[in-house]
Amino acid sequence: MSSNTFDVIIVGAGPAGTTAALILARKGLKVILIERGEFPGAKNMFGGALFGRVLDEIIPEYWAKAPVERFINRKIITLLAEDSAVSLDFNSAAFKQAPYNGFVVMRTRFDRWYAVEAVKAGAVLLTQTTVDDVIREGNQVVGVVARRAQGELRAKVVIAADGALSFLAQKAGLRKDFTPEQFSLGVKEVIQLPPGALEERFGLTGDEGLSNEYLGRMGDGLHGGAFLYTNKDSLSIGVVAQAHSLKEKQVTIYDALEKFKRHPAVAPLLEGGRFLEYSAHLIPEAGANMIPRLYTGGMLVTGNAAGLVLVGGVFLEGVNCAIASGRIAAETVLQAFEKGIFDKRAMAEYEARLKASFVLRDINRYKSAIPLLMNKRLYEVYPSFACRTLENWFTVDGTGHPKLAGMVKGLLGEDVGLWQLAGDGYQMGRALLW
Amino acid sequence: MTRKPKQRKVVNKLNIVVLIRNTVDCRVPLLPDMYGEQPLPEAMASIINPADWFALEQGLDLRGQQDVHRVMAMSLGGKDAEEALRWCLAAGAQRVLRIWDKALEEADLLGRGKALAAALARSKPELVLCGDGCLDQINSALPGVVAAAAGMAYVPGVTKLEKVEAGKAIVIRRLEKGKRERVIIRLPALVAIEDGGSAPAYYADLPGAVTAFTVAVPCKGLACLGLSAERVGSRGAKVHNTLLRVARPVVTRPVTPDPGLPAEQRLRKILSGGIVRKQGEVITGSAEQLADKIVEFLRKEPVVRL
Repeated sequence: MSSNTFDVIIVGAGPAGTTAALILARKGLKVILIERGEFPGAKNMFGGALFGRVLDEIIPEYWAKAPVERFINRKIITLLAEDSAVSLDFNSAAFKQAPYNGFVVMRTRFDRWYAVEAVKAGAVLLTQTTVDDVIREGNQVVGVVARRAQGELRAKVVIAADGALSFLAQKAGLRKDFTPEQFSLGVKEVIQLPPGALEERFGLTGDEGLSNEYLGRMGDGLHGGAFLYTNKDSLSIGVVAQAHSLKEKQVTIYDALEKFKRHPAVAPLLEGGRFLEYSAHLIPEAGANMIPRLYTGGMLVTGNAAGLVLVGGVFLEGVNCAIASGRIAAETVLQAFEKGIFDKRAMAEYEARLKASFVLRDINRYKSAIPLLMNKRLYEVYPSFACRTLENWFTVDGTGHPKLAGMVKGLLGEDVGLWQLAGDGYQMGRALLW
Repeated sequence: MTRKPKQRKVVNKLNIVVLIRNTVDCRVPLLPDMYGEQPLPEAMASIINPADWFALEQGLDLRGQQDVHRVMAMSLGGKDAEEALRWCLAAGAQRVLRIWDKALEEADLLGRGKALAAALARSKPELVLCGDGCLDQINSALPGVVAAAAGMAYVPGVTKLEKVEAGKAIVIRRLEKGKRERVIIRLPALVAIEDGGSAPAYYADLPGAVTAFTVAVPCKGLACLGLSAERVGSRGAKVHNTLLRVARPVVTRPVTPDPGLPAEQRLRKILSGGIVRKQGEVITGSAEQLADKIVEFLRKEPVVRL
């Protein structure tokens, strides 16, 4: 086999691509993992939570080897109004035990470590190399073209794991052009806190950590949310806004982040902090509606490139879906090698396996959450309504406490009618309850 | 019958070794940890010393133009050094050699210099190249130590390799106040070349890059070099690092305030020590102009390598 021929070419050394490379290399296949950045993780970004049960099946007790920050035993969901907030704070003892439910990780370190695991298994990692196109022979993809002299590489199977905007899937004719409604834009700052401040402000001991997701009006009426994760000595804090609302409201996302950081419920948490890092990323958020064709002859699409992100209102999970899809892609390829068939029918097994897995089952199960997330009242009315209701109820001013029902009716009348509330309740129920 | 004496082919070809050092990228500010003392490990990006890469490119240029047998890249270090050597292979170096041993982890400059000199003694190069200076300063002195330990001439501050032939090299060297001198060097010698500041010229083609990342990079430990950990390792080290602290802000010389200013403003100027609070700047213009201004700002700061 010549040096420019491999069994499998994997484009993108993120969680999906590296998982596929690791599993295939373990089985002795000649695998090359091509990464555009200086090193795996150099240009990758996410909020910070890795739900790693899937990874635990691939690398048992990965948390003892991987560069993880803190395990997540507290999950807080906060509704933000202009100057107040109401939270649901879940603290689980079970999440403190192995196998942990999730960890906060920094992608620059985690992706690098993970790719080294694939290299140890026998994969070839080639960084600083951009893949521009696929090579086709008839209906079969037989390789890729990289942006280097003599840039053709050939393989039996190409796995596209090149991220949210997957140009490779587009070149292979597997996806259509995107629309702004299909994406959100996320920006994140890492803020270093003074010694001991993290533990004191968030009530953490040892390696305990928390994730806090915020819902409400971000900036000047942006539709989206915000997040806060506790790293070892720092905080990851960011805002996610629907791309179309950025356009409609003519608001910049960095202004939204600044406003979020100044919110009375957030600012004290950042007191004395020092800015370390700023990053931004597009998030495919249209769920099942933006999943491209997942395969063609000799090619599979995985992870964010396939839009495999679970958007479930209270869930926004990408990395575990990416790892699972990378594993399923690898299993499909192994089966194809056993049979020696790499055509479209052999690759179709990938979609069947994905549908049977939690990845597509969850994405389909929660697809009715997508219209809910497009409902402007979710951001503009209900968070401030919840805060005002509780504010009025808890206020002790000598006039007495009214019953909740009457107060709710009074406050609701200002922003939303009863029928609208019932309609939104039904929409919320369909999205999350049944 | 008299046997005709066998004609021995005279080989005048040169072997060149380029020393490659990995260094912390000091061109961007090193962020301190939360105690404000030691640098954050994740902020210390390891890169190939730019001057060494320039020296490698000079060596590879010689391969085409002069009577050069082969160019070998050599580096002392762990996995970072291995990756650096792979990029050297991809760029066109015919051979690479990594020198590493656990005992070298805390070796001092002399120990590392001796280890590299021992490796050079085995490779027997006529010409050793490296960059003149290293971003992390401490390693700037390494080539001199290597040359001394190897018993070679050491020629720093070279701006141009004019001619290299068997047993002799002619180079141009920078002197103070912009002067230049032409130097004839008897080989073997170690020549430290100043970074030309140009963009890398050798961008590996795909087959070269794939091969470089597929082949094994040979690594020699102290035992292979005939050295002992007691002599060159941490136990033999005479200098030990105990602490790495981040730099304090550079204090600029305070200017004498304008006597026409009110007394309070003059006092403020003196007490500030010349440090001026950074001002934000709102930029306007077309998308292209904005992009140019942002790139210019980032380059000046410097917060990114551009």
